[in-house]
Parts: sequence; structure tokens; C-alpha cells
Amino acid sequence: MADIRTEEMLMNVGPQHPSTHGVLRVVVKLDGETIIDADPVIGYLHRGTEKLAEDLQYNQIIPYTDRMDYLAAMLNNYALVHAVEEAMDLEIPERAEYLRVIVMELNRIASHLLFIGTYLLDLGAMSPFLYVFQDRERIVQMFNEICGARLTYNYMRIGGVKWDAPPGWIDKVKAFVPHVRKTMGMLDDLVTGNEIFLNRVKGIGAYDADTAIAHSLSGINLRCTGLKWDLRRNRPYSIYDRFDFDIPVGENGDCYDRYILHLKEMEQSLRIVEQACDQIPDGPVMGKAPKFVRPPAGEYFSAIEGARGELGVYFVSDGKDKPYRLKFRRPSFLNLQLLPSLLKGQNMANLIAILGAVDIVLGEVDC
Amino acid sequence: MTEDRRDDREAKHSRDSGAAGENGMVPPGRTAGKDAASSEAVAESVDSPRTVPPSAGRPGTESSDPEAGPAKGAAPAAERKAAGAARPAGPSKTAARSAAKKGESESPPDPREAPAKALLAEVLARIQATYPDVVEAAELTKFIPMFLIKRDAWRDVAAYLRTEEGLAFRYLEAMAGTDYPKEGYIEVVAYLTRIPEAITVGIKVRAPREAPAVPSLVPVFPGANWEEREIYDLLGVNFAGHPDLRRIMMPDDWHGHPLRKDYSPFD
Amino acid sequence: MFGFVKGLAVTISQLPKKKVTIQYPDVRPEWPERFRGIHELIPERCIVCGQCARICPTSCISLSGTRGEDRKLRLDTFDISFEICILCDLCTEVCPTEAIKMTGEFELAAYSRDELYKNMEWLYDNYIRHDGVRELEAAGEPRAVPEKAGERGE
Repeated sequence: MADIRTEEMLMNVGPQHPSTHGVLRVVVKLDGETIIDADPVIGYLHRGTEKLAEDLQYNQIIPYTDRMDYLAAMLNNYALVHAVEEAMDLEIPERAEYLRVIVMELNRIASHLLFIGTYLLDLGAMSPFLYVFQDRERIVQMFNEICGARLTYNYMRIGGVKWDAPPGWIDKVKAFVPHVRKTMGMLDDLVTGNEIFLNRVKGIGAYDADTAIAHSLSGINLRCTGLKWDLRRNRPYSIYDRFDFDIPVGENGDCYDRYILHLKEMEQSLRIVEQACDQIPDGPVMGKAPKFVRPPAGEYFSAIEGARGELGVYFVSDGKDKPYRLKFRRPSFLNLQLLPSLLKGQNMANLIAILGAVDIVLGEVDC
Repeated sequence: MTEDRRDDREAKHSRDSGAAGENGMVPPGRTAGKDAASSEAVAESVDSPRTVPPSAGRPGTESSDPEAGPAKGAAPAAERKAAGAARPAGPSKTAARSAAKKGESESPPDPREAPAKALLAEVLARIQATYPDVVEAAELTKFIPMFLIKRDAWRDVAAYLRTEEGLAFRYLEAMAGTDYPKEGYIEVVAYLTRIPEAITVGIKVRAPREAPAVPSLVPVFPGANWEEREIYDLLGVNFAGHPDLRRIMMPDDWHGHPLRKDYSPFD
Repeated sequence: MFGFVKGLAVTISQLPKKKVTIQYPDVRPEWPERFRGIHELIPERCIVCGQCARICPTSCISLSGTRGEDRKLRLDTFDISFEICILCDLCTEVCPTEAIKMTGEFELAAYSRDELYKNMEWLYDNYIRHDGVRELEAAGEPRAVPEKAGERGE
């Protein structure tokens, strides 16, 4: 078999392909069914957020962050406000911190649910996609109640959050938690034991921890190799050191581990949400933030654990109310780097399985 | 007063080519002048904290801001830590780390400052022991030690920080480029992290704005590949030794580098 | 083989469940109170402070006003370009008199881009269509609800 050489074929996957989750184009060079080279082409969704931000006040940038990783906009909001608050040493009211944690973890669950749905859809399973959307819809509706938008939340402000939770909202979240557990159990029954699914993801796209670290992977893409690296635990920010939760890690670093880690992480997020709902104190939700946010001159870097990995914000301030330079360290962007080397030598059909498991959002890749 | 406001609005309009502002008759020279003035001011104010004396042994003294910052932030941080310890979640990692670090008493300003200073001194001493005269400046940028490295030694120092026993900053956390037209250079910064201790140091390098070139970090950190491509694309920094230096965000036939401060889309 | 059967059981168990979708154009979704839809404007309340135009991240608001005889500023024009408006709510957040608010209206599709450029009158009509119905009736001056512009179906 191996000595039969066929003519090389160059093929474009994307930019308009349902499995590329946005406008990603992968130029693959094929020898028969085998990929001999792959080159991701990005930038179709590049809006120049970083350049635009140089002309905007810090609070005005928050709606722009919504549009980066649009599946986890709360986390993006937080990454920016956290960076600025760190730079200015602002004190955040307790209740605001708890509300932030609750919405961030809910958003992480929503994002992971969507990953599971779309990933299985990529692999040919239609119904999980519909099931996860039912639960995600409930999260999205809760966000709609607390901040008035379903996707682009613009909820956090420098110094706190914009709205307090409406009456009964916390109870609603509490009641929602067991519901997600049920759905996760259902997904487990539906998919995790399925032989076709297992054949398609087990041992596919595997790499080890050293490769992952060298390529600056983060999030589940890093943890699937067995490395316990979660900024919520390793470099605690906000109030994450008050919660009891585990960092699930994989063993083989393959697509199956990445899939199962999404399920396991949702469970941990649910635990955090439960604890936060129990502990949340009363009080104000907006601290004493100056009207014009002017971080002292200097450069700052801070990072949080986003839904897809480490979401960092580097900014240079010149003491004005607009950043001199703002740079987002987007996890999807860096996670996608390893794709060409993962694809080399693989069967063409595995492209979808591997690409899907990287869990990218093109809004974030291109920024 | 109304006059002023309207000017403001119209200036905004003229900047925004998409908005259909038919009521605005703004003298073109005026807004341009305004813009120029403000950008000059930007450059000026950025100038002051940036002129760091090369005497590397005194971190955190070049500007009063870091001093003022921690003093304010100390109380809430300590409070939070106490609250965290009281709960079953376990002791805060940072506290444990700082205690283990040097045995220094981390009492006044901020508990994070002492370990950061110790780290700065330690890493600086080790770099200087191996590569004398490559560190042009060293300072604390909000608890992250930052070293300004000479361009020729950029990759060597990065490799040293990555591989050397006891340092082992194996994880390239982020890279960013910034344009400083007033000072005439473009700065590239890289944050390196030790996993799993989560200790981070930053290194940066400066290249002249005209024909900026910096040795590529890809042979040391493969993860720098796309970050460097992005910096090349948006700021025009040439990374010597990069295996695949192409534009990544903008189309291949694009002219200019958008993140430069003097970029104009109509060139 | 067991995996298949387990999965199939889940699928079958879904059959008797209630539908979660709604028949959208016929059945309208109910939005919570804070929902951020298209703006409404009450020109009498506006004091022409211009804060909304300044805070707008996309600079989609433009307004102008004149000083009346009673030395108060009165709004002359107020335009929002919904081509670039991102419904971020920052303008209503800074408005000191609640002259500009957001409604539950969310359908903005139009045949031409020009139709997305909404002026003061349209925004006031939008107010009457939403909060205005209730508020004006309470104030004892009920108003006929205007037709929604842009539904001409050309």
C-alpha cells in the first residue's frame, strides 16, 4: 500500500465550512486520503480590536471584548476589567465578585455545552446538539435577565458589575444546577459509551505535555496531557481560592480526553456555582471606581482561565483614560498553532475530529 | 459651551467615516491639529516612566506608581487572604509561595512585592553571571520582573531562561509588540512562566522603528510562531530565523502595519 | 454494542417531552425587563448634555440642540445609525434624565442601509410603541400607536 504514490492534491477546507466553526480555512495537501501538509489560514474575522481599543476609554472597550470569544463573553469581560482593576488596585465589593464568579462559571458551562454539541455534530451525531442547546438556552435566558443580552453581555464594569441580580435569580441558578447534572448524565449515556464515537476519537490527535507547553497551549488542550495547570488554582484571581473544586486532567492527550474533560470541567464549574450561590453576601455591586479610569503609567499583564484556555490581557498605560497599547493573549489563537503538526500523516476524515477538539472560536483567533 | 460640544461631536464624526454626518462642516486642519497634538502628548507622557536608568540592581524605584499602588492595595488583599484561609478551600497559594521563597517578611506594602523583588534579583544575577552586559534595565512591572535585553542576546537569554536548571521558564505565556514612535523603537515583550509554580518573568527587546529586526524565538519556543507572525504583520518587526514569516491577520498584499501609531489606511 | 443501546434509550426517552421551541413570527419571545433592544427617545427629557454621543464606542449617535428663551437646551436632531450601533447600553447608562432608553424591540432588518439611520421622530415613535403606551396613558394623554416604519414591504 505504502509504495503506491498518487498525485498530490491541494484542497481548501473552509473558510465557509460548517466544521471550521467560523471562517477558518485550512489548506491541506493530500496524498490520497492522507494529509501530508496542512496550513491554517486565519484573519477572515480580524476586526482590529486592539487598534480600535487604543482610541477608546477602558469602559468602552468592554463591549468589544464581548465579540472576541462570543461563546464566553463574560470571561472576556472579566479578563479586561480584572487587568485594569489589578493595575489600579481597585477594591471590588464582595457581592460583585460573587456575581462575577457565578456568571463566569455559568458561561463556561454554556460554552462547554456548545463545544460538546458542535463537536458531536461534526462527528455525525445530530441529537446531542439539540439537547445541549436546551440547557444552554436556559443559561442564556438567565444572562438575559441579569444583563439584558443573550450573547454580548457587556455586564462587567471596572469596579464591579453593572446590575445586581434580579429578585429570585440566585434561586433560579441554584435550581438549574441539578438540571445540568441530569443533562450531563444523559450525554454520558448517549455518547460516551458509543463505539463509533470512541473509535473516532480515541488515540486521535495525541500529544504529550512537553509539546503542549512548548507550543504555549492552554486550557483543556494543555490539561488533556495530564498536566494540572489551571490559573484558577495555580494563580488564584478573584475569589477562586474560596471554592472547593478539582482540576480534572486527561491521560493520553487525545481527542477523547479533550472531549471528556469538557464534561468533567462542567461538573467542577457547577460545584463552584453552587458554593458561590450559597456564600453570596448582600451589599453593593459597584465599588468606588473613578469616573474616568486612568491606570498609572506602566505596563501590565494579567491572565485568567478562560473557557478555552489562558486569556491574558497585556496593556500599556500612559496615565490616560485610553490604553496606549492593548493586547489580548487569546487561547484559541495559540491553541490552533499545533494543528498542522497534529494533522500531518492523518487521514482526511480525522481533520474534523482533531480540529473540532481544539475548540476554537474564530472571533477570538482573529480578534 | 454649546459650541465646544458641537466641535467635539463633529470631530468624532469626521473621524468616523461611516457615520453620515451631513450637519458637520469641520475645517479639516482643525481636527488634524487636534489629533497631532494629542498623539504628541501621548508620546510625551509615555516617555517619562520609560527612561529607566540601566543600573539594574534597584527595582521599582524608577517611578512612584508601584510604591503608591501596593500601599493602597495591601489592605483588601490581606483581608481577602484571611477570608480565604478561614474557609475550607485551603491556604492561598501565593502566601505559601512567598513564605517558601526567601523567608523574607512580607509585611508592609503588598505580600506579592517581596517575592517579586527577590525573583527579580535572583534571575538578574543568574543572567548576568552567564551573559554579562546584556541586561539593559530591570524593573518590576506590577509584581512581574521585567528585563530589557540587548537585541543580539535576545534568543540566547530566552533559551537560557527556558533550559537552565532552577530557572526553567518553559512556558511562553504571551508576546506583544508595542510601537513607540517618539522614542523611535518598537518593543517586543515576552512573558515566560515556570509551570506549575506559576512564576512569571518578562523579557523585552527594542528594535529601531526603521527596519526593525529581532532574533526569532521560534527555535526556543515553538509557541512563538504565530505570535511573531502577528507582530510582524501588525507592527512590521522582522524576526530573523523565523521559519515561516508571513502575514497572518491582514491579506498578503496589504501595505503597511496597522498597529503602528502613524499608520494610516489610505497610504 | 451496549453503548448503542444506551444511546438509543436516551433518544427514545426524549419522545414524550414537551417542545421547547416557539413558532417565532407568530409567537413572540418574551424578553426580561433589562433586555437591550432598539432605543427609544423622549426628546422633551433630553438636556443635550451629549454624554451618550461621547460614551458610544462606535460613535453612532449624533445630536444637536439649541438654547431656548428660557436658557435651557432643547434637542434639535438626534440620530442613531443602527448600521454600527452594537446595542451595548452604555448610552442609556450615562443618560442623566433617562431620555434615551432601550426597548424590547429587536427586529432591525431592512431593505436598504439608509433605513437603518433612525432620527429623532422614529425614536420617539418607538417610545410610543413601547413604554410610551403605558406612560402616556397614565399621564392622561393617550396616543395612537404609530405603524412601525420599515415594514412597507417594498
